[in-house]
Amino acid sequence: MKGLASGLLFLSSLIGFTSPWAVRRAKVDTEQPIEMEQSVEVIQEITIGDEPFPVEMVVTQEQELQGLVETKLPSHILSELELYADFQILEKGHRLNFEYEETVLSRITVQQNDYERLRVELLPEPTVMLDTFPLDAKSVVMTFDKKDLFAPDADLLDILDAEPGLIAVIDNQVDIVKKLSDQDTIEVLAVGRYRGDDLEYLESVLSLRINHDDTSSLTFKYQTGDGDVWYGEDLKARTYPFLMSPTDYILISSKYGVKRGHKRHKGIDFAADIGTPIYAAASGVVADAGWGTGYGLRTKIDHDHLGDFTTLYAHMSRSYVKTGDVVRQGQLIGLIGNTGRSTGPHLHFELHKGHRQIDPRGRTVRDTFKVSDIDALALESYRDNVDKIFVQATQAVVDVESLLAKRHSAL
Amino acid sequence: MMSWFLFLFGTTTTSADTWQCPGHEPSVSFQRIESLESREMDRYRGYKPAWMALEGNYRSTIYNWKEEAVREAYLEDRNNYLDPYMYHERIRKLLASHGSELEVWQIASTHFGNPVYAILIGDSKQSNKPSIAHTFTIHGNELIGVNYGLDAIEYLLQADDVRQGLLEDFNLWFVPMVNPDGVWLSMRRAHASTYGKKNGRNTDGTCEPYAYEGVDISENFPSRYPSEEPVELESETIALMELFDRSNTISLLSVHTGGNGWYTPDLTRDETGVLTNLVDGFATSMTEVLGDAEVKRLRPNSNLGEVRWFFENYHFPSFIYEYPKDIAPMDHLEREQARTQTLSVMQSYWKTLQAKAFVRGMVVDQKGEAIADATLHLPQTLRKEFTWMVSETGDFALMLPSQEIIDLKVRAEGFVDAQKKVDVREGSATIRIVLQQLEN
Repeated sequence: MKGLASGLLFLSSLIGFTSPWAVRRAKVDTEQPIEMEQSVEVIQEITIGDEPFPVEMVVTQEQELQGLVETKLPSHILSELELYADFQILEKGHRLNFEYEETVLSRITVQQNDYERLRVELLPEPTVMLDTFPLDAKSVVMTFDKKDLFAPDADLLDILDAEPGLIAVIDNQVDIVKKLSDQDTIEVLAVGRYRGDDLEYLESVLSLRINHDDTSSLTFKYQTGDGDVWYGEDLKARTYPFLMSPTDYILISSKYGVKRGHKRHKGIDFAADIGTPIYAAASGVVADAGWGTGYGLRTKIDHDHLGDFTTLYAHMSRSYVKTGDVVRQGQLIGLIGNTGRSTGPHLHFELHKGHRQIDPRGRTVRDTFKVSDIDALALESYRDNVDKIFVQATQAVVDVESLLAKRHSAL
Repeated sequence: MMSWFLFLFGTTTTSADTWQCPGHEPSVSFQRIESLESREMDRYRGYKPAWMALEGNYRSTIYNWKEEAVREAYLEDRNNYLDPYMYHERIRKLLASHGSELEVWQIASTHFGNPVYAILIGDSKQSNKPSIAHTFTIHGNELIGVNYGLDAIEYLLQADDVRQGLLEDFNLWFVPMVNPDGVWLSMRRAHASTYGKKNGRNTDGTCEPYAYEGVDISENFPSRYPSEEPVELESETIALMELFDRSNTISLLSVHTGGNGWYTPDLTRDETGVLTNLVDGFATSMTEVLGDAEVKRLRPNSNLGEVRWFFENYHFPSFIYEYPKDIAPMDHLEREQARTQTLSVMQSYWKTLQAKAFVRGMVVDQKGEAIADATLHLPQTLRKEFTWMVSETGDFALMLPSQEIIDLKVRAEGFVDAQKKVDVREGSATIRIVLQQLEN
């Protein structure tokens, strides 16, 4: 018991911020092992009532956090501290700071790296918090081709996660189903969040470079009053959210609005061979998959994130999705067929806004996604900046904080 | 001459933004009612007398409403449908007999001048205590809903242990008749099921005394799509939204009739799975009492707007319970069964709520002052998360799917992002979050 008491006293003296009584007692006790004293080094201290109290200390040898603070904290806070597993063992170089309000210890912070800091607030009610600081924003460049777009690997899925409308942005530049060739490539410049040199996660996509038919064009995202908007190298907005061609068609056999007897055609017919893949025009939720009168085997997809839009794909020979499925833009949902009231294999494609069909390539839908005009000079200078950073990032990982800052200041 | 002209053609309003006909102006204002007087029944207010729609005993009651014995006899039978005047009378009696256990608040006034009452079992002064809200008869033609709401209140007033158990964690708000105008019209219309769910707004500007097209309150909540036309909100809708906001509501049960189901909001956007677990957990715990009820997710664009809106704004569970399949009229035996079934579903819902984990707390700066614009997040992955707002006084209350240790992330502008590990293995926890100001 006596040994335990003197051990506690020693620990108190080692940190030197417990009650003055403990400090005084420890000072006269000179028979303590020396190696323990080396486990922390007090960098800075203040004097309160003639006694020194530490302000900052650095750990010089691996040891437990609990041992350093247990005399100073109430038991329920000590047990709360145990929940923070990463902070239980302190290693060489870790820092502890102590703050005082007049003569009372008010705050202890423990810093292991630049990204997290454990903080114990002691006044008025003790509580433990973990402060988190942003990870470093650095560049990530990845390259994909047409095949990847339709069968994304984990990397591309990560990117699509960060930028769900990315495929539409590419499609705005080059029709990915009909015109993009197997030799074309797409380079993506993204912001990655790094812990030191390690990439933790992809945050967002900044820009794309589409290499198509020996030409290379830049597309970039810019923050405007309407939110983030994608612009092409020509400084025109790329906001149409649906695929231009939901299937690799041979010809458009009937446009929207063509007269058929006393009715007008309320969709677009894409003629193609039976078995040609059909892709979801935008991401969404399958609202209805099954047989419909006249439509044959058909699938309806709700695109709620775009507004009250629904797409319908009819006369399919095969359907690969069921009601309630969440689909990605460009996901294979079925195959071209000749089911229902159809005179030859084709995809009848409809776009609905609310309960009304509208022309998928018409003015109504384009107007919905129109953005307001913005300062062209600022946009141009931002584009040039992105272009420069894209070139650098292709060579090596670069800091993109400046680019992000510029994007925000442009608002 | 002029008055004849007005009589024949009514007063017309042509502008689309002045739908309101002269007379009563709907309003939203929250005031606590200490005591109520009987209302004088204006039985001709705004309806086309389609007598066939009226039940015999209801018809005779309204003609003799001034006689106390008639009133008593009608209200005594808990299976009788109630119109807004009768409902008012029931509330008046509840307040007189149980004034110490409940609070009655008038939260809105409708086009016909009917008050919308919200009844609180709990204490409105405990503003940081989370609330559970129950709404009934949003669709005016679902007449039995009023009885469900009053049943729940009466049950809780009698069952002291259940009430006390619930009051330890929550305030309980009930709005038994969200749509009094709709109820009033429904009790008089031959085709109540077609038109009666809407309220008393005159939408075509003709102001004919019986041609109230009305607005479906359930479909009147703000649109989720920025691309859609903004919805003009009704006083009933605004009052409900305000109630959820003020009372720190963390779960909403909206009771309808006309189906047999337990409906939960669309969860396709819950990529974290946090809310899916939470919401699905209710149906799982309540399997027994739900019986053969259909358990289903609502479509994203469901017209049951109150639960959709509540869920999307607050990220707390909200549910529809519908029973039975008939809307109205049912015979008395069917009504009795429906009331019993619905009350047992509500009891089971309360039990499930109590078994969930809760975190309550406050977000303050290092000087101890409340941070009103802080947001709370439950990170599941690095990017996908849901956000909850703290109240103006820095308070918050969260419901969690399971009893374990959770990481709660806290953000506020001008402060360092922080995380706190919260131990809810015991079921609930009260925490204090102190944020540190960003140094420039």
